[in-house]
Amino acid sequence: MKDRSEQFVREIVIVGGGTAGWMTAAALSHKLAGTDTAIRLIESAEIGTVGVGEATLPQIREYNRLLGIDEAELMARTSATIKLGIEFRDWGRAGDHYIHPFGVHGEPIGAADFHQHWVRENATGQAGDFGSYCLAIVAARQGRFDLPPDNPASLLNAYTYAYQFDASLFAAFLADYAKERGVDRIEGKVVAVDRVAENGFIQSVTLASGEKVSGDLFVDCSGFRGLLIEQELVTGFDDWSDWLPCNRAFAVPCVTVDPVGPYTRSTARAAGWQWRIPLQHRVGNGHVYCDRYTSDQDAVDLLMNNLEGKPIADPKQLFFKAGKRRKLWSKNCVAIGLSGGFLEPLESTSIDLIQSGISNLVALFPERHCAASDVDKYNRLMDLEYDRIRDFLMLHYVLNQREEPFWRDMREMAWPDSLSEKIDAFRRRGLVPRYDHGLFQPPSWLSVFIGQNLLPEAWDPRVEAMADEERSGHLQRIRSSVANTAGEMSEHLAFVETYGAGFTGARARAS
Amino acid sequence: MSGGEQRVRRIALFGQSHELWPVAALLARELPSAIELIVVEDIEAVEPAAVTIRLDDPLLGRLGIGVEDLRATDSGLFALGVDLRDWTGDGSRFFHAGSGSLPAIEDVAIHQILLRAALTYDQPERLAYLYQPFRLPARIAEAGKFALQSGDPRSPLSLLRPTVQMDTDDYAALFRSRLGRNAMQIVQAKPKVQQIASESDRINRVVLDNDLVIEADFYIDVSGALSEALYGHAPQDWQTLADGLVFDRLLSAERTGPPNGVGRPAAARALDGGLLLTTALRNRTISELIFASGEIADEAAQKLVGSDAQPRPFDPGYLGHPWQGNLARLGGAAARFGLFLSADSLALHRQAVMLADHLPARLDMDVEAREYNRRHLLLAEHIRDGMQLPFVLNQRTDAAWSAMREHPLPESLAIRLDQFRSRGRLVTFEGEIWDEQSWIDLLIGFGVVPERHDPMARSLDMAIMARRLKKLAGAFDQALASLPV
Repeated sequence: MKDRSEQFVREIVIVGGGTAGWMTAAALSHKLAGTDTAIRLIESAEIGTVGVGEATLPQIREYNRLLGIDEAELMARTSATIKLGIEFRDWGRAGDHYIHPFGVHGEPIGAADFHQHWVRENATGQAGDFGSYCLAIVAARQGRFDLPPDNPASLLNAYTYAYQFDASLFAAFLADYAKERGVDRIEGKVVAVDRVAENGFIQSVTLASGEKVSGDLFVDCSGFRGLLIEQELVTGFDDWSDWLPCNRAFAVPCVTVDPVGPYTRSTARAAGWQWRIPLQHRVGNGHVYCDRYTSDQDAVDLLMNNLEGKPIADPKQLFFKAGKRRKLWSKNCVAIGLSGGFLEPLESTSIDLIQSGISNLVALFPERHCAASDVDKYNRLMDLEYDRIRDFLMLHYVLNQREEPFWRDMREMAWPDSLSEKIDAFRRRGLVPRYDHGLFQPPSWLSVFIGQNLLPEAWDPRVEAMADEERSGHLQRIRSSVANTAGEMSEHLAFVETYGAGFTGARARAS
Repeated sequence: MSGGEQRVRRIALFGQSHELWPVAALLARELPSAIELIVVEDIEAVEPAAVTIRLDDPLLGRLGIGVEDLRATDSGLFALGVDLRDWTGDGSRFFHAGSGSLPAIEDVAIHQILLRAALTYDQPERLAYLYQPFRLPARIAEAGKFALQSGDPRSPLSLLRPTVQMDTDDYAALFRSRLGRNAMQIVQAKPKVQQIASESDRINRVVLDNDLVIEADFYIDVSGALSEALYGHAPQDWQTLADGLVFDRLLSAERTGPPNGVGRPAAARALDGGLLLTTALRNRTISELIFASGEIADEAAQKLVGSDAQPRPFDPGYLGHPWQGNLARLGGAAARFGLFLSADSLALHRQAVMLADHLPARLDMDVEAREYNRRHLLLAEHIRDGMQLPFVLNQRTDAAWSAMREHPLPESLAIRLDQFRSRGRLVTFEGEIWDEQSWIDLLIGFGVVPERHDPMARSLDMAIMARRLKKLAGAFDQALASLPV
């Protein structure tokens, strides 16, 4: 029997806790169970986590499935509510609102896509709101939710969901999960990094206590500063702040006054936007802005003056810069989370990017020498993911008709070619980006295009193969079906209770 | 729609019957009656040829063509893939079958578990042997059996991806029977002259060899005659595959009589300097030889195929920008890959669907052209990679085959091979068209043994895995045994 064990990664060191660190630790401890791989996570109680990312995307359910996490238990311990999409208010013009849903609009009619028929009908003024053809949107607006069917009889019944939860509690939940599976948490602050002279690989990190922690593979979850990937390995940073200029935020929780709808809200402000994320026990709020267009004081005042209830903590200020590391995997170090890059929280992509980093690391899990082909492939996959998300985030900003200087400048700036082509294709013919594996699929692009008032100048000629009355009948039937199905769903918080996912707070954590 | 006077109101479609009618049928079905369709059919006789189509082909689905329609054709014969003979040395055989994906166990692919077992016992060369029981579609075909794909995802037969083989006349007739449209003008002629607007690259009108003049807003060329008049024999952005596929001549012939072997209705036999493709139909057999002119003389080729006809040039490749101005190209006008792995019909059907989905709404059709060209390039590169793979992995010793093995690979294929050789991982790209399982089957079947297995396979209890794999293989054995010969 040939012994290959000397090539295996036997020791993994994760530098940094928080959502990224513990998501990584939990996933690796599950996937590598039974392989005698030691996983150590270094975090310091002195260094706070950003802990703001509270809204997620449906892909997180796949993470839960892979780890065998009980959904109701997770929701109960993290004060989670259901998320069917994001409502955007005032993004096109003041007074506009639309929901970017986790579901599709309508269903194909004949050979042409549904939205082509809607555009044609809309030209006659008879189409009605585009969102009224999407079950996830109608249910969100009515504050209703039921688990989606496994095999929906019709595309009209197809939707998915994510969660709105307390990210700090999520990290704590995963920390319990990981520690139960053998992850060793080391309290300490990294003060030095030792590297192998011949190849530059990281050999060990030294803590303030003097303890050396060695490893074969290092995962940098140290946050914006990129302790290993940037400060030590100097991989470089692609600065995208010209395209996504918002660089600061204030975050504050408040008591719940308004209904806890199954959706996140994003309201455009003069120099940025404000989020509202309703959890079971409180509402998370934040104001993301660009400091070139407003002062910190005005930004925090705007946030505090627009809370639905009494604040339950002091506002916390955050600083960031949009962009990503030039290489998210360099030598034997993989950057996951904010250490790898940051795209503003507009579409709740932070946790999803962590998850993508983990999934790709698992798929390309290396041996000790970290084959160049694996590293290159990982970096290519992550680059593609970042690029596509960047374009989608930018879309929200550039498709505005607002008058403030910030919004005017966003509209008039030079766009990446990849984004210009997508907008041009939709404006001229209603063509929508389609990827096999991209995060944002046609329903996402359609919701923003149409929600922010970009309507195609022309449509698929195959739409004309159907008589006007027949098309109107189809649309009416779809709208009625969607409304009826939504009307039969449970009230959102009633579902949470029935599901056994009511927030148990300290009691659940103590048990 | 604003600017109604700018709408496309007339479309002219040109081509030879076997490429023309599949496209015409789709357009006829989906276009509104307000758009006039003119079909110019070039009825010049073509060499005997067969086409092979997967039953789950998207064009068949769009046209509502089902198993019974295919069964009703005179020549149609169902199959499960193609028998690759002598590719890894004289006497070697590998059945290349379409296949659904095998179920992963604990999220680890079956071939990775088998690889771990083989490497653990330092017998990597046994991987193909260990893997063979899980290649159900190939095993069914090798046993001379056949079944349609089961719709029950729990059934082993859900892995099958059957094909139908038929001659080009039946194939053209099948699609022609699907026209069902009144607002169509059909002309039998060839394009003679095109008139291009001086200020743009748009075609204004086309004069046919019967002196009829065709004026349309949008022109579609599926066989190349229209493009040839415009661009000559060698379009500027033709991406040739001649370097990686050295065969430059082609000869085909038809032989009457029953299929050459029950259950082995299609074969691709490697020869010194060539490749002989044999496609059995219900009542006859079509043979096609592609060969290197420096290795096989025309007379020898004629003897191999059993034909007195003169071999024709074979220059596989594809266009980088098949839609320019108001001319869109598909079929042989846009890409030529040959009969191997039914690449030409695969390309045509995908192109037809792509074109229908991007039909121009207005005379200004740059946006549609850009998207069609982008997708076409992806399609062509995928077909190229899948088709080229067995040529790259061949183990023959003659000059032509050695040259193909040693020729530098396209980047995407190099990445796939590199990743699989390194760790048994199949890399996929946007717009994949080949079955992932078929890639893995072929890589392993042609002797690629990854240097290491997926590290996640280390976490599995191999005693439990052995039991689970045995159970799965047993289910496959049972499914195979239950089918009649």
